[in-house]
Amino acid sequence: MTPTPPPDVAALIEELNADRNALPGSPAPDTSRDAVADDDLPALLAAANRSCHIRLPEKGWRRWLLRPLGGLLAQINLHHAFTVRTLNRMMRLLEGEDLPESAALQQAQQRRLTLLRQINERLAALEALQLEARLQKLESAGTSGDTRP
Amino acid sequence: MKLAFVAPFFGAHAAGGAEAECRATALHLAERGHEIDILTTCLLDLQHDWNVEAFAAGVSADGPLTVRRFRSDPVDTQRFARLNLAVQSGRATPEEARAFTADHINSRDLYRWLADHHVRYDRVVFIPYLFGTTLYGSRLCPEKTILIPCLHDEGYARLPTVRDLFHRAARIVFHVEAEARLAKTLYGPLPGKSWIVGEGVDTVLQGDAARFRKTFGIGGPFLLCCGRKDASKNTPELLRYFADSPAVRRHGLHLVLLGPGSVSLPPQAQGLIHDLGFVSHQDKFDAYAACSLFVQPSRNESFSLVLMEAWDFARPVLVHADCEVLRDHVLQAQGGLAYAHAAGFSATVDWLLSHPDAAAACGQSGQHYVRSRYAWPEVMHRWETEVLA
Repeated sequence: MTPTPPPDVAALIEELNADRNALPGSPAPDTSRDAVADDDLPALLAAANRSCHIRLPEKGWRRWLLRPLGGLLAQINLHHAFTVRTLNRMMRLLEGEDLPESAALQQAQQRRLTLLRQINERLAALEALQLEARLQKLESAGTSGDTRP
Repeated sequence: MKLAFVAPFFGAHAAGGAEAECRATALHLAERGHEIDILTTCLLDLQHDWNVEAFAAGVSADGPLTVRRFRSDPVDTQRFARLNLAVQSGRATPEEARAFTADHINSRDLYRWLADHHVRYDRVVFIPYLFGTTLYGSRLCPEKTILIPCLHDEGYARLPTVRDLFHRAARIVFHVEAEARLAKTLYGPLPGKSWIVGEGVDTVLQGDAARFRKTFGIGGPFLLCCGRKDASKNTPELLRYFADSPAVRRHGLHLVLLGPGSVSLPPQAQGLIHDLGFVSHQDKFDAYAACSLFVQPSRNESFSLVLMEAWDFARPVLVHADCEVLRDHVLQAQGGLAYAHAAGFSATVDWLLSHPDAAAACGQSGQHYVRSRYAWPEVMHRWETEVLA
């Protein structure tokens, strides 16, 4: 099988840097309010509401606890998809669900601890090195009285 | 041949490209039978306090090298910081420029010793250009001076004393053509005394991708960036481009940073950027083996050893198009792409990740470039037949 030759790098660099304002490869259209025409807004809000909705627990003390917030949650449901998604995740955590994010968080925490340990070990090694250098300096000053080579 | 290398810092521990190049070049020349003395200060490296000496003055050995350390002159750090800003911005008065050079790292003990003993050396190599040890030291034996400038396009390079240095040196060793072009632009023609030798690179490095992913808990494709993290290396811009890139999210790409320094991470990319700080050489090699792409965001490079190491692992690279040295490397090696702005960054990342065969071919081409031009035997051959001849 013939290996793939490298592309014409100079031409590609020219082409891919041609448009300073383009950000190709965007996974979704920009749906921020500033970018959306007024006519489209109701349809987009309706779509957001279909996909994101804060669910009050069906029964039990959590429903009782959260009932006073019902009106506020309804307003949030209507207006802000990002907040709704975040609150939905909080609700699921409150109900004891193990979210997929928790594994990643635990991994990140573990990695931080490992890195902290490595940093401490390296700092200790550096301190030992500096101490040794200082001792050598003191010794050489004490024995010869002349530190010039 | 008996040679002296003069450098402000020296040792295996000294962080920095010029420091690493000085030691590695001296060691390889010594392996080929040359007798080498290192003349340096007692300071640890550029990042540590210039008024705190880490080593005793005196003579020691580093393998086949004889290391002579001299006490450095005290530095008024507050005054230096003020002058440094003025010089960096290119708005220093002639008096400030002179004071900046005098207030840099100097060692009168070293100068006295070099003045008395330079006759015993066939050549004296000074590296890099911007230190008192080079600017003043080279005045003591200009006819024997070989300058390895590691020149960047920056405010310091426009100092009158630096212009004098380039005209005074008997021989100049450049890393790449772009660096020689920059010197010609700044100082005029330097006929008959400069060579493009490059920097020696250890090749056929070994790394274990699975070990890196297991040790640091990083799965999925990632972009790797190695080196000091600060504004001079353009790291903050890379982080902004990465955080704003739609291609990064589309491909589920992470960014791994290795090296000293600290930068604030953009909140929208939390969880995607992993700042691992200092790691061992082996961890770095494992990271090269594991990464999908390597990025060098700096606009000021005179060679870029880490770029060569990434290519030795046959990784496709991304470089900043504003750095002429890096752009030349990429075009000559056909080893990756260059980006000029945020949109270009996103587009080049997207292209390389969407065309894995072509990206792999770029990596292979880069590997051939490094091994055929910058492997130690090639570089040592150029030193012996051109520079020292």
